[in-house]
Amino acid sequence: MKANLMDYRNRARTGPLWSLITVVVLSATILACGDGFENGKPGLIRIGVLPDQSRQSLISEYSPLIRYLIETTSLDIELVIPDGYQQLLDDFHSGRLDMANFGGLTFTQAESRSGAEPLIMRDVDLRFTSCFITRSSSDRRSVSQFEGRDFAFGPRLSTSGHLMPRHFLTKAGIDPERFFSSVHYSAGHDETTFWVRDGRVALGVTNCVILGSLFAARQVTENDVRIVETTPAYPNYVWAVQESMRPSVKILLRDAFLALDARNPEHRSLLQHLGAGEYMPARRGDFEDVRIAAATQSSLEASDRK
Amino acid sequence: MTGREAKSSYVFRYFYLMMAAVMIVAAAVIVGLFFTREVVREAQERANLYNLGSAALATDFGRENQSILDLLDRPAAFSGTGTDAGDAIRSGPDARGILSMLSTILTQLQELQNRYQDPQFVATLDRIAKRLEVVSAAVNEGREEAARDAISGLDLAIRQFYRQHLVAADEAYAKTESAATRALSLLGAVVILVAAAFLVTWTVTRRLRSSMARQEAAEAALAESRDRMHRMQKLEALGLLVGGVAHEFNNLLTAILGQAELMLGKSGGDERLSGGLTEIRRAGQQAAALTRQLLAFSRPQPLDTRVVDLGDLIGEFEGMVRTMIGEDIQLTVECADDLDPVELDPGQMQQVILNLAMNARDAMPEGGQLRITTANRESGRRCVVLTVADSGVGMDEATLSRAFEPFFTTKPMGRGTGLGLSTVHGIITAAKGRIRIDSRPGSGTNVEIELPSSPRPADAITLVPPPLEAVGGSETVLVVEDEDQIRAFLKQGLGGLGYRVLTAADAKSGLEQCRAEHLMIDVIVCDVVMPGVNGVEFLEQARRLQPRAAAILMSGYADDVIQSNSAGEMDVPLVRKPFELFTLARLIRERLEQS
Repeated sequence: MKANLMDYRNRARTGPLWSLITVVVLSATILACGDGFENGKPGLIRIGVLPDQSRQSLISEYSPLIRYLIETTSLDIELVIPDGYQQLLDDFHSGRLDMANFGGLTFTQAESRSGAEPLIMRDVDLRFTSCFITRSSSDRRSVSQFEGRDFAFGPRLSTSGHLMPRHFLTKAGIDPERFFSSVHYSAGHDETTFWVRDGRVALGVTNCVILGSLFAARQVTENDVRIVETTPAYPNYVWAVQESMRPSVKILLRDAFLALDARNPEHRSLLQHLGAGEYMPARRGDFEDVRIAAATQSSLEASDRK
Repeated sequence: MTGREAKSSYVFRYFYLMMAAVMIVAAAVIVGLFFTREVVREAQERANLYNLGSAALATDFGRENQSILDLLDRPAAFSGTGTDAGDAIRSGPDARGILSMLSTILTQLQELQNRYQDPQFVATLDRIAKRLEVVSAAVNEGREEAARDAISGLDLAIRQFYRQHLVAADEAYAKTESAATRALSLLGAVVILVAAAFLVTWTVTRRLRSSMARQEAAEAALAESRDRMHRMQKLEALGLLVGGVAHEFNNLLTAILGQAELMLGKSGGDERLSGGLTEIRRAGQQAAALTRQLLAFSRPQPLDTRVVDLGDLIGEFEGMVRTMIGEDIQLTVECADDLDPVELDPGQMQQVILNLAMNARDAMPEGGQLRITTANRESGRRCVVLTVADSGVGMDEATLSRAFEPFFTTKPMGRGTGLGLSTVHGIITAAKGRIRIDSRPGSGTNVEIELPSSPRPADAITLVPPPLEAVGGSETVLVVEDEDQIRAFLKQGLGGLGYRVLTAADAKSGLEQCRAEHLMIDVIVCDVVMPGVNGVEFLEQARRLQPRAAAILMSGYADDVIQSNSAGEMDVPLVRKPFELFTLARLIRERLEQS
């Protein structure tokens, strides 16, 4: 009993000392952390991709890239194909994936949920645009002249067909539901184009790349539809890594992408296979518009659900 | 006492230790913040260089590349043979200048890189260097296509490099921002910690101090009440002793005075004898006055209320007061002429005035003025106001508020009982009067006593009764007294006046006498305190046997109060010892006449 009392007293006396030591160590840790640059070989790097095609075509699309990365970085890398968009986000969040190829919207979700860090993106990813189109016979020259007319977005969840066009319209002071007499959502970018061609809506917005391919396939002609305005460029796809990934590994992976050179024949086929001219370092700031658009969209959806 | 001090000092030490620890932590954090500021400053500088410096260098690169392309596009330069064109490029001062400028920019970039030892640009920088070499080689060799191709490759590497720097700048900015935020929140936390520690320490110390003060006050109060009780017990014991002594003295004095008186009566014309006896009687009377004072101290006397003129009463005491206060104090007495009579016990009034005068004297050790005034006043009721004012040191409010408390005294231990003013208060209240004290330090004390006017005319005051003729008679008197000397004196004295005197030493023999002298006893004179049955009880029994007999009680002891009170209820007069024969004789005559 006496010994216990003594212990208690000693503890009470050293209390301030302990708290002092704790605080000093804590502050030292806070001040020192984040500057470490570790050496040594990292473990297996698992890379996930956006499952926007069939499993087989994804494997055939990305396998050459994985091979190239293994050769260049000497890291152990594995390709992971998730079952869906949500699976990709969940796997990245749980840490089962070290790196992933996200769409614009999915990246902002992964960023806010798991702190995903953008690493690298294709040159085309940096400059994605959406096109506002009308019938060629129309004499209106800007979106603002379509007040009180019928209008069509692409699919509700599409970045280029809905999310970004709505964002830029809002930014320009146009509230589609008030500005146009009616607002429709199509099932795809091609459908939007056909609606405009057939005169079902006066104005529509669509993915410029897909519009180009429709022109190329002669499914629509310059006599049918005409581009009224194009949205500012926004990023749409990005390779992102876990924020906690070792800086040395991040640099290795990024430099491997940056080293891809179209003048090198081997690289050229790989770049063409990936639909890229070249790769550029990605910045968080690139996604500001997508982030705002996604936040607006989710708050709109939330108010719709009410 | 020591235990509490030890405990409190331990607690205080603990808090001071905590405070010291908090201060050290705060100092450490502030030093840490200073270094953080340095780190932040450096990161910010780096971010600026990445962002602005590398942007400028990339622009320079781009511009120089463009110049080379312009050079390649100049038709004249490539109009001739390949060799000529090559010569033109080689010999053109522009091409060499531009290439050397490019390599200068590259060197600057490499210096920038070396300065920060940042591994993330190494590969890109190497690529730029390699591609610049390819451009140089192609230009030097005059291979136009290869040069264009090499320049587009160089452009890509530069754009990548530039973007990479933007990313690095972003990161550095974010880092400085988060470090600044962290530093700020840390500083805020420390400020809150220090403030909270101060607050807690302050509150706890204050509470501890106030609780200690309360405890000390309680202990002081306890000590004071213990002290008071001690004084009270002392006084009680003293009162008991004095009362007992006074009682014995009174009995003796009654005998001395009585015998002296008797012998004075028998002395005839012998002047030498009567002179000596008169001296004995005077000395006895002085001794009697002394025992009265002793009794007054020991216990309050039964009220002997009379209707008096206060002015006359004060006139009687004036000499005594003057003697008591001494020559340094000038006494002024002013009494209104048409003063209303008041009802009071003159003896007690004397006590009141002497007490007040004594206090006044003590308040004026250097001398001063004492004014005693009386006046009528009409304030709701008609009353007489007695004012005793001195020019002494006065009292502060704390003393004033406790002035009437029994045993409260400002006089040194051993001087003054602290009973003076409380006795005064008791007496005045008993007389249905009011007392008020006005005083301020340095401006004297003013005591004002208000006594209700009496509708009855004032009695003549006779503090020293005039010598009376002893009145005699032939009736039968029964004296019951246990003191042999007094019994003998009364038998002799009353017998000398013509009475038939029967004596009894106690109640038992007194009752026997009553039975024997059936209906023949006219007056019973009886002592209150007797062994066995006391005087009052004896009288009750004796009156059954002798219902016609008048009765007188004699008392020499303060404790007779209760008995004498019940005697008052029985309408029996009380004679206080020591008395002189003629006092008793007159009372006996009065009683006989009444019956």
